[in-house]
Amino acid sequence: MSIKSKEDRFSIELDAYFKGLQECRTSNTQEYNELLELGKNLADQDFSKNSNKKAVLNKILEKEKLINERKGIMKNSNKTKKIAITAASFLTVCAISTYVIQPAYAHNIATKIIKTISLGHVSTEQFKDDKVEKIPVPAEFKGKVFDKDGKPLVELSKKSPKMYTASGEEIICFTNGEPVTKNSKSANVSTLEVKDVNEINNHTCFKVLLPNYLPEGYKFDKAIFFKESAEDTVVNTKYVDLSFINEKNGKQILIQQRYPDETTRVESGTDAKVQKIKVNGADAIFIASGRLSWETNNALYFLRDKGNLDMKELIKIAESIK
Amino acid sequence: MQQTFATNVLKKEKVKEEEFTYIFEGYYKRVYNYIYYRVNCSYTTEDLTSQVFEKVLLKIDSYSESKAPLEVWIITIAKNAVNDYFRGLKKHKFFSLDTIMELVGREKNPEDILLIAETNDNLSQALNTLNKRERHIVALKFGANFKNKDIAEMLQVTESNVGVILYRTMKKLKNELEGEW
Repeated sequence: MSIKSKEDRFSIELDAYFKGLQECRTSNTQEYNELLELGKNLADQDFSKNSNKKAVLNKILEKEKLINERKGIMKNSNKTKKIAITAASFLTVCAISTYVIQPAYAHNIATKIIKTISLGHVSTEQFKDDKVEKIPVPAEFKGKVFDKDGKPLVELSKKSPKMYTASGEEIICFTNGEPVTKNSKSANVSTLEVKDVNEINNHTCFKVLLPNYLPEGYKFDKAIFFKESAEDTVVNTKYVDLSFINEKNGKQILIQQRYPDETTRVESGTDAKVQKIKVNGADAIFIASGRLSWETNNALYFLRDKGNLDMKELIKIAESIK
Repeated sequence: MQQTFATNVLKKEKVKEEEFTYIFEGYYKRVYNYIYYRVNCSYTTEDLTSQVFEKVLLKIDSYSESKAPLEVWIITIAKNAVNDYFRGLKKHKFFSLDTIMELVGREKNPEDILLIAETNDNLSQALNTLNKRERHIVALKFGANFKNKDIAEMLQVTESNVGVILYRTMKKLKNELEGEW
């Protein structure tokens, strides 16, 4: 071996130390030996031993599961799972126009989370909207969305977040990663609409409760269930969307109810102001864009107002569901 | 048909999860320490480490051994995460109280935190006297346990240059720590 400089020897000895090898002592200067000692000390520093390794791993795996579910990958043959995916799009992907998007995705476009509110099964993150005018099209939609003129979209503008298919049809939402337009077969086939209030509870595995209070002009319109196939009659489902319409101006209030368990958890992100408030004494999340989420032992509730009702009215509706 | 498809997907994901857990177990310490040497804050380090492995999980299918050894690939992801973090810091020097509270909640107990803070204080002061490149080399060497050859490639300098800078940096650190170590 050729004669190496002290710098080279130093690095070689350190590498040997990493591997747990004893270096063969050659005569070195005191400085060299002291630096090597320091090097070994630094190499022995393990800052990670005080960290919560398990929690980090679990968080990653949980997140991955969530993303996969949203991508529409079926994890098992359980029917309700797939419905979970479809239903989730009601709150997440479908709602891109109101800028409520998956937290994992939100992290990529806005790194700063201002606030996180978590209930048992529901959590919402508020991220700072640093004058984000445009957001990149999520990877799973790439190549599937176009602008009015048929040019592939790379970015969504916050002001006019309309997306079109290659043939120019407006996309109303995404189901299992595929665009759904007004004319899509799946837009009609995949839901079961129930107009009779008394029938709603025949389809769910939990007790669906209707609000006793509705603001003036609003009436129960229909309950919407997600179907697995065209023949599906929907029994024991964990999800239902209730629609209420104001007959005078056509404005809509949607209330989604979910049976509370591990598969129906919801995480969402928004750039609108998020506050923790109370509904019947229990914690609830109010999002300034007209959303209110809360949960009881019986169900998870997501209220979404498409009119411009104020917070007090929304709480009043929420508190009348019991 | 549907059933088999679903079972296959399930199996594939199970395998992927196991593979990932294996990688996570094997590299967590090195990724964490590498990041810690650069940012010197356990909250930020935990957060960034988590981001790095999320990315690893997301991209593992596209990783090819012929391009780079796994450790180099993973630490490169970590390097980019830290760089992005520093870039972001410049933009908004603001950290929400809620986020901090959430992270604190996950820590072990207040005494632990205090103890770690004290022992790391001297080292962190010494690290702060290093320039960007010196500090990065310390992180790559003692955090990621990289060979000089890999460090050289990552930082676009020659291998012997890395050795020289490392030795010089160690001298600098030792002077700073003198009597305190």
